[in-house]
Amino acid sequence: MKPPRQRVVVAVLWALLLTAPFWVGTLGGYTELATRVLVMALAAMALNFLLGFTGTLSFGHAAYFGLAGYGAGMTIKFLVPSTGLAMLVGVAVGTLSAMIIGALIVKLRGVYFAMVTIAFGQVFYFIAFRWNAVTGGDDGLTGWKRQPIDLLFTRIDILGNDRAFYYFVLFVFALCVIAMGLLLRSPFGRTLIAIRENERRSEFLGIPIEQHLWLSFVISCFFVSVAGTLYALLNNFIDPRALRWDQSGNFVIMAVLGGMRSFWGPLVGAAVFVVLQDYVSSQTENWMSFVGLVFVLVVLFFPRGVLGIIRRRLSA
Amino acid sequence: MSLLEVKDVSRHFGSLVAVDHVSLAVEPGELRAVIGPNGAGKTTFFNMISGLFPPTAGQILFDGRDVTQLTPAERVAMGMARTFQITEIFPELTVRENLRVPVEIAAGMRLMPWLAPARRETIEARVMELLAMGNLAAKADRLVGELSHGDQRATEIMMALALKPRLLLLDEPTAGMGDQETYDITRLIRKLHRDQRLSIVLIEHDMRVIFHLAERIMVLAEGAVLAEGTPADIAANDKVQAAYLGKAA
Repeated sequence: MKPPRQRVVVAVLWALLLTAPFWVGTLGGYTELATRVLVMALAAMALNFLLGFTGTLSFGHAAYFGLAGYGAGMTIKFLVPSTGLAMLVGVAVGTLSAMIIGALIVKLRGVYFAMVTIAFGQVFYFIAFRWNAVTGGDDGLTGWKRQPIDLLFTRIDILGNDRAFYYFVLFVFALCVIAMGLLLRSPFGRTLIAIRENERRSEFLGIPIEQHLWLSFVISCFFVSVAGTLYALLNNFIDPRALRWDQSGNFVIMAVLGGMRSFWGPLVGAAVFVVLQDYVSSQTENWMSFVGLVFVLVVLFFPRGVLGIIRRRLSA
Repeated sequence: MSLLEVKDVSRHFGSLVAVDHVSLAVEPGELRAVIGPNGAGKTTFFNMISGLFPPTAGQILFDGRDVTQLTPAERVAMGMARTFQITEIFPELTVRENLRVPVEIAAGMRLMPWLAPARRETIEARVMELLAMGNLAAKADRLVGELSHGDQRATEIMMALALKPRLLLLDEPTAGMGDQETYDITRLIRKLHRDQRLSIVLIEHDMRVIFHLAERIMVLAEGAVLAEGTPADIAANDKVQAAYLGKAA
């Protein structure tokens, strides 16, 4: 059972997310910005499934994020104009790649694991960058748009209506986040936390480490793929930078900034990151140095992240 | 048939021979102690039995099956559990959570992505049982990392027991403990052995503990078997005396 205070915080969080399109405007934001926060938050929380709850750092999650985005965009552009199908294809492409690459790298640990994930990410980046005819190369994949969603009796215009798209993204976000939360509270989830806490003890309790690490990696990449498809749909566009190592690094920054030991931390980190990016980049081209400064300050003074501080205040 | 049969194993680290042609047979329900001066190869011997690394030569049979090349997790699944000389636990989790992981693994649930309420109760009941057995119930919701050394050792032993092993390997369970803690752990081990007829192999330094618990003792020195027998035999053995006194002097 969670302490009541923590439940209140989570309830407030959901209330804020549910009402965001109605108040972001008064704070100088806009609906699309809120949507971007959600998409990045999903990616950062997915990464944190592996980083914060299995104790393994991947520096190449953008590969699956971007692959899924390309999968979704290409499906709409070349195959069928259906948002749902585009997401299915995108997530399948991202997850399948993660299954194959994951199997090749689960023997590695620590910095070696992180380095190899970067290397694989860069392979996909260069493919997207060079294969002009299919991916659009450096210019990105254009000439397609997300499609309205037809339900049985009604049609949701996620293309023309920003708010409708926000709620569509929030719906997918909620499904993913609830699924991750339940997984982490299951017996399987506890084996992952066990591995994070003490790999040797876990192995000698009968957990085949590589199998569980692979599963965690694939689950994490599945959810980052979902985020990738939403990212492509949000922009009606995807380019090779979505798969590049610096995008992977941004996910890590979001997770660490918000607090990688807490489930909701990466959401807070993503919000800070995306909003900073939006405001500061309109003032100066060097917005990244501001993000970097904030990041260094947080890591130095609040190693448990932004949510870590808030939580300590609450429990004190 | 012996539960554990170690046949003529050796382990080399480069030019160092850590364990040199050692054999051991442990019968079901036996409590066997392995003693020896520092650097005698006791822990290396344990690491090969439990699968941390394979022997350079020789064979290990568990329950009649050759396990020499199996992974630690596979050996655990067959009924082998161990503790470490330097306590290996999950320091940032509570005692309850530390025990819950192996209880769920023993229930065959390690890959289960959800938990039905009915099974949750069984799991929680088993965790409570182990907490009580290890005298940890009052500290169930404290983080293990904050507990005393003795309670951490007790937690580690209960974690191994949670797996319902047929063979329990304890590597210096009382290392670094005060008298009272040593006494408590000794009593716990004795109870497990008596009440559950659990087979135990124990590495130990504290002679009081050994003579209190063990039925048979194997003495290792410089990687080889120096002597083997009942506590009385070992106490009277001149070679053992010399090995220990030589070390002490």
